[in-house]
Amino acid sequence: MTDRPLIAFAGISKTYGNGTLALDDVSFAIRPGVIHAVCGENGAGKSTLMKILFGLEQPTSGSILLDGEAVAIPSPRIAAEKGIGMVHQHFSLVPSLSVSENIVLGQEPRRGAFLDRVAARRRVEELSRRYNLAVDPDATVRTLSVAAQQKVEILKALSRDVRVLILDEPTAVLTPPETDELFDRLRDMRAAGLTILFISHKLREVRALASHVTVLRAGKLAGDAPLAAIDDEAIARLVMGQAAGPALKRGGRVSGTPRVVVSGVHLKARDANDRLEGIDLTVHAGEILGVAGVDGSGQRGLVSLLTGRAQPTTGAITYEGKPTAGLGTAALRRLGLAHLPADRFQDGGSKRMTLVENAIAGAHRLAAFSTGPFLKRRAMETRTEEMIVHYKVRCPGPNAPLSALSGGNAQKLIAAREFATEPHFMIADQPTRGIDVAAAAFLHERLAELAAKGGAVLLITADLDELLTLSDRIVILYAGRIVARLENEPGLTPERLGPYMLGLESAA
Amino acid sequence: MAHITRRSLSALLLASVATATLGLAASTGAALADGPKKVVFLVNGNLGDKSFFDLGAAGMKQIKAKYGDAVETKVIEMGTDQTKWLPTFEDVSEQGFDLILSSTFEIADILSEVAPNHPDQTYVLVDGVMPYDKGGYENVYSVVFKQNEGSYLAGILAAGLLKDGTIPADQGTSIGFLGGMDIPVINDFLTGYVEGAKSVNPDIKVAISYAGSFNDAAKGKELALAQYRTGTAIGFNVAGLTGLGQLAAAKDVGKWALGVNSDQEAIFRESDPAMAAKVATSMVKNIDVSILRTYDLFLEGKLPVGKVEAIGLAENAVGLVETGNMKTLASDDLKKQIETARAGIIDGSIKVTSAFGLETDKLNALRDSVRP
Amino acid sequence: MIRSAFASFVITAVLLVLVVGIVLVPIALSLPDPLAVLDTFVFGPFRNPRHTGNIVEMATPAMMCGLAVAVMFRAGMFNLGVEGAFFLGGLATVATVLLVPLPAFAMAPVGILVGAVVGSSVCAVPGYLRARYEASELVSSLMLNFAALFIGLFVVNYFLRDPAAGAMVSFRIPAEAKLPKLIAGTRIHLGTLVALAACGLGAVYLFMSRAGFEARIVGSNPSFAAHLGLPIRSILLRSQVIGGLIAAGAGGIEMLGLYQRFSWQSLPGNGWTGVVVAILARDNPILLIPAALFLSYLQVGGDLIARNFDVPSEAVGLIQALVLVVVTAQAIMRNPRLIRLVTGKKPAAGQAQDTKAVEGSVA
Repeated sequence: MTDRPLIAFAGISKTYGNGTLALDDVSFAIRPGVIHAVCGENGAGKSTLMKILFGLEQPTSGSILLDGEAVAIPSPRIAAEKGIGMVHQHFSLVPSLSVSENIVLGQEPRRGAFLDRVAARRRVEELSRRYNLAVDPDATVRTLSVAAQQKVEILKALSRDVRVLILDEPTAVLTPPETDELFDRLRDMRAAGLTILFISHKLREVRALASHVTVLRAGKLAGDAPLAAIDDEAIARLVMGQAAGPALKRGGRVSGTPRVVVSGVHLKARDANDRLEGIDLTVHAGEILGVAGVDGSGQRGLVSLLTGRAQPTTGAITYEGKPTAGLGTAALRRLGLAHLPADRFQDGGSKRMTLVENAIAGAHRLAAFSTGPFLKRRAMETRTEEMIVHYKVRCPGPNAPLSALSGGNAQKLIAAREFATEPHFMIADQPTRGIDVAAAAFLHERLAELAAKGGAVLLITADLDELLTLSDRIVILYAGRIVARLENEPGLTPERLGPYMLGLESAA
Repeated sequence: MAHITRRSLSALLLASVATATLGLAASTGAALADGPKKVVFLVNGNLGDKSFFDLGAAGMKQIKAKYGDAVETKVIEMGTDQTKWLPTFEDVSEQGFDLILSSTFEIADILSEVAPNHPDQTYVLVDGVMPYDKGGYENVYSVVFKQNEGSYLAGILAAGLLKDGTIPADQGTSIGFLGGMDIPVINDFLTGYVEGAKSVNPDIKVAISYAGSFNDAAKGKELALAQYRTGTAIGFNVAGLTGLGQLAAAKDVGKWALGVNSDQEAIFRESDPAMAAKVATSMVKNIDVSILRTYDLFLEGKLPVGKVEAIGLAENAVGLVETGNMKTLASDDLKKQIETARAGIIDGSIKVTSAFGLETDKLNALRDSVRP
Repeated sequence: MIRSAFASFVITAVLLVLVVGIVLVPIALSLPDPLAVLDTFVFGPFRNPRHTGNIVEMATPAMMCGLAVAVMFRAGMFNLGVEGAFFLGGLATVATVLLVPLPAFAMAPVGILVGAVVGSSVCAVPGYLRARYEASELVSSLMLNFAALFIGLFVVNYFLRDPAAGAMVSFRIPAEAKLPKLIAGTRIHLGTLVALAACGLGAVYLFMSRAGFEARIVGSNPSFAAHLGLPIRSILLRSQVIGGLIAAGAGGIEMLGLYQRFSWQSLPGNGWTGVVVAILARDNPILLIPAALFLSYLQVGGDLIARNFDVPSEAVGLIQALVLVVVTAQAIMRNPRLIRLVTGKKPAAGQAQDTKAVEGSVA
């Protein structure tokens, strides 16, 4: 095919008021009717470019060609008129309104001065049929799962008769089965003639979905190729700007002494997804024990027990031989526990507090950071600056609020704090979810390094590549039980884990 | 060479402020000398109470109506935040008023701070007394009300309504008195009330209760209900907010009540007409009358500043509200009887006992004589 | 941090000036001399040292109540017990001064201390109920305010009442117990210095002490505090006890500074002013000082025009009401937890609740 490009970026540059060069002379084209992936680290300029296309920001120089003609897109409204729709990473739905109300918001069918609910509902049903995206038009958005909200967001974008749909990291909030379903739908849409711009930094997903990939690095175009013509390693090199280090494949390492022993543990939780039905596992010094499982198989319950936020209903947990019954988080942390929580902004830090405060919290009572009842702010700041350097945290400064950081940088700062205590036992819960390849690789190195120094690591992750790369041994959770215990031998593939995770097989 | 430093600049500023202040003081003096008289009434709360404050404002209107352009009147609401009362008094004291009037007991504390600072300013305290016995306050005139005289008329009305059958015997045969506390100022109402009732019916029985509180409407209602259930047909409340409980009780059991200090029928006519309908009349302190009278005396140069004065029926400063329910409820004979008593008190042929300075024994004897 | 907080403070202040103008200008125009009205409102408070003093006098309790609110807000507590604590603190102070035989020099400090301890219960009890039983401190503190009021009226009526007085007021506060006046010609008293010092100490506590740091972690993200293993319950309780002590102490200071007798028959409203001041100051103790002075300035200006012109006191009330609306609207926009309280919506679905569910299984 030699179609004329639907969209062409011609020499787009964007300089922010503070002098940051976010995009530097980026040019590439998108052909109609394809799924086109845009890859890059956090901060590489992907989002800025998409915002420019969607009219949220204006380029400093360069132009956008739509159907070969230069167009100005001063606002999202104009973008919508030109057939460009966007699904943001953070949804912009009104939680208290119904699905159909949300979808028609801004272009409501009216009868007199009132919203014509019947027409709104009909329109939503028709859209949802056409794109095979099943949602209940009358459900209140607040009550929907994240995946369902994303569907609503997509339908909302589609309701404006779009030709181009931009999806900004749509899988960051989804579980693997939900991701698969989303991909099926996106393929349907492509088949229906839609052009899809898919922003991601997960190579697997790009490979599974797209036919063409553009890589941005530090605001510049790093590469642009049909996927058939480029292999994963090459893309990774383009993303990271250097030859990616040799894959950090562990597995089958000799185990040290048992450090954390969970025996016969049951947990009755209100949420069935958190229940545990007889868990036995041991994490040894110097090993990384991977925990796999579909989201909601008991991972959260396991973490809350190991971090002292809940006590087992029956069964016992020992920590370096000592029982932990009755010990809370504070006591466990004193014994050498560290924890990278799955939701980094919910549990891992406080968005409204500064980097210094986030980095030192928990250690603030140490003599290094306090005298009597007072804090040593200078020492706290110095220590944080060291962390920022060592962990390559990209930030405006140590006194910026955590909310100013991208997900990857925030995770690095949180990791810096958790690793700073030289923990005996580290729980890494989805440590690299939603962060860029370079930051993920960095955190992988830190985890491996901790294990090499004799620390015990429990790695809980939905990213099977990460699991297979890092783990020495793997246990698979299903419905609150361990259904498989596997040595991570070479040749163990995601495909072999699948049936266990779905509860189709059991080997425990 | 003129050297303007920050210090000299601020000195300059200070000097100009001082000049401005002096200028203000000078103009104040001028206002005192000639031109219309200036009178202000300070409300330590807000208008619209249909009681003391509204009456005070009405008194100011009467002054204006009577003297026209020869006087400037002003009413200032000071609000309920007590920390603002003193500053307001201080301000007003510097604004060249001939008379500054205010009412209620709380103002005595304020005046005790302000008045000594402005010895040339004349203040009037209505329904409150300065502590003259401690000396000072030569520039404050206090006026109080002979509540015993007004209560005497209320006693006649209550006993008379029973005697002539206007209130049928099955409603009850005795009259009631609900006091806030067993203290002289409250008992001054009681002595007049009992003596007035006895003048109609020497065998009258009076149920007497003290709530021990001026703020407890619930308790007032309980005590009043107890009185009404044991044969009281009409009761007199002298208990502040507690007394409102008696009005509520009267409404509940369908019996009669007598209001106090201000026209309590008028107060509730709109918000609770059923309750207002059970207020036979109210023994009122005519704040408006006392204010106009004060100004009259002031103009004549006869105002006894530095003293307390008690005024009563003779000055029309107390009395019954005759325009409301009483107009239709009381028979002409009874009204005539009340008029006669009023004349008798004014000409001195009827002496009403005051509870101030009354020995406890005599008070107890009076109370025992009417015990049901 | 303080610079950005100050910027938003200035924005709010400018907004307030606009709002006040919208009310004031039409009122002024309806009077014979509109310029004099505006002039009195804007410059009047500074023409007479006594009026400038009024601003400071009024700002003193506002600052301290604002500090009490800020300390609790920072820990994530919307405890409105400041109002009741202020009331009860004032009462207990007066009761101590009147009933306990004390040497003259000890009257004020002991009285205020006792007032602070007794009054703080109005904040501490809802704090305990929240920490122990998850009872909404907003609701329980509002209710407890009224309990404090009626307990107070009972105490005044049966223990402190001056029978010679024609109203329900306490005996006179002895002159030796009064706080010394600082500036002749005004009523500015020692309490103002205490309030300024308290704001300074509040800033030290919140931003320079370990305890304040922990309170802010709990306040800005309780899940994070749980992750760190901080003793959340005792931190919550501690914050509310501190807040209560400050508010109740302010009540005592107000009594000994400006009053002749204890004569409050209803809640005096200083606690609510404190909430407004705290919101305006973005819960920053140092900014509380200009915020309280600014609000008091508007108040004194309003009082002056009500006193000197035929401006109904309702108009002044309207200005205050609009100030309240602007400030609370800003607070609600800024604070997601307040929105939840206002709308009755449960905390964000998912994570937070799930964590609680797991915690709930401890038994």
